[in-house]
Amino acid sequence: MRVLLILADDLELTQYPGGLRKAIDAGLAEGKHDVDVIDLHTSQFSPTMTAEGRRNYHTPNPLVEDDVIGHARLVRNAEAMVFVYRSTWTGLPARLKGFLDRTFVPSVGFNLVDGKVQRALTDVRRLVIIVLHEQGSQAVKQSRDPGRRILTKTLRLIVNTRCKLRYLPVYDCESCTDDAREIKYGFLYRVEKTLAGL
Amino acid sequence: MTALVVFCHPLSDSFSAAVAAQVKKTLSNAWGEPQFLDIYREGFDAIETPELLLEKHQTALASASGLVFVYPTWWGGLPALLSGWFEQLLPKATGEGAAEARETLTHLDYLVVVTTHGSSKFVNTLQGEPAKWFFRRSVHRLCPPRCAFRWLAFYNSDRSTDKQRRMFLRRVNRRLAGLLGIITGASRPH
Repeated sequence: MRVLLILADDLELTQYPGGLRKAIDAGLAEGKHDVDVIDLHTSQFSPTMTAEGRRNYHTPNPLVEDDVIGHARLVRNAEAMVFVYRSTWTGLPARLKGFLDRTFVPSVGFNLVDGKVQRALTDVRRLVIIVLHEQGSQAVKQSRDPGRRILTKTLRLIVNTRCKLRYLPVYDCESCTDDAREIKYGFLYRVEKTLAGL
Repeated sequence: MTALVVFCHPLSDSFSAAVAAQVKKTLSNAWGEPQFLDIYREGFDAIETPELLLEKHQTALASASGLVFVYPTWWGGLPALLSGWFEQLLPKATGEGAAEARETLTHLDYLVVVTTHGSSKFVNTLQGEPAKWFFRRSVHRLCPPRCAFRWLAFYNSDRSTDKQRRMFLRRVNRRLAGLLGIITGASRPH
């Protein structure tokens, strides 16, 4: 399966000393997938929708910037998408939100016919969302988790109707150590197995 | 009594810009010129903004008695730049840092969000209205208890007619003036 791995944050900064990245890589290698990686942090992706990009949004050719054209090619090619991010209080971090804003434009993510959205990513049959929450599960639940809604409910509208979705969260990601998380959630194990079995 | 209008759209000839102009006009009629932050044209950066600009925005936010956001809803949520604005101005708004954010927003009498959606109300309901929940559950909870909250949304803007857009501007004017009337104790406009 052609997997597109989208890393939205500097994972080294969190208290995962490489463990999460290692688990992701091991899982993807085990499943023998073709992997494309978009590392938004390392490539210093600019999330702000530009005036030029917006002006061309509803034209037949909405892709005008080089970085976005490259990303759009990878998105069109993907059969599975894996999002990895650390949630902020607005839900998605600005970089990941900007990636959606700028890359999933008409003709890439969806087609607008008479103002109605039609699915364009019908090749995508698996979505995996790996998220590190700073807050506890109750606090996230109370905030209605806007990031999750954007990535699950909204993306559902443009990918294949039979797309399978896995949401793998860690709550309180700052306060507990790798071992404690492992015991509580079996998180790294689940990440590895999910990605291997895509 | 100063209101703060935060506007986020890359194009100055967009419908959102017209909405922002209407908001500015209504607020001016009630209380005099509001503070207007056009975060696109001020050169705000979604990831890292120059210290000086950030300080200016922080001062404006801390002194505001009313807060109005005007933005287009993209992918169900805030534009990335506005997300970045929140993340930088109120960086620790959750958990232990919430007290600090509450301190900043302590003067607020009202929080109004005016937004345009390209898709219909039905599609937005399927999407779960993430931005609406964000304002209601995360931002409004940091405001003092007296703070009123209004959500003014224009759905289906991709297929809207001129008449619908004009009606929305009138609705923004009416709702905002009504809200200001309640807060200041003046009579409601007809």
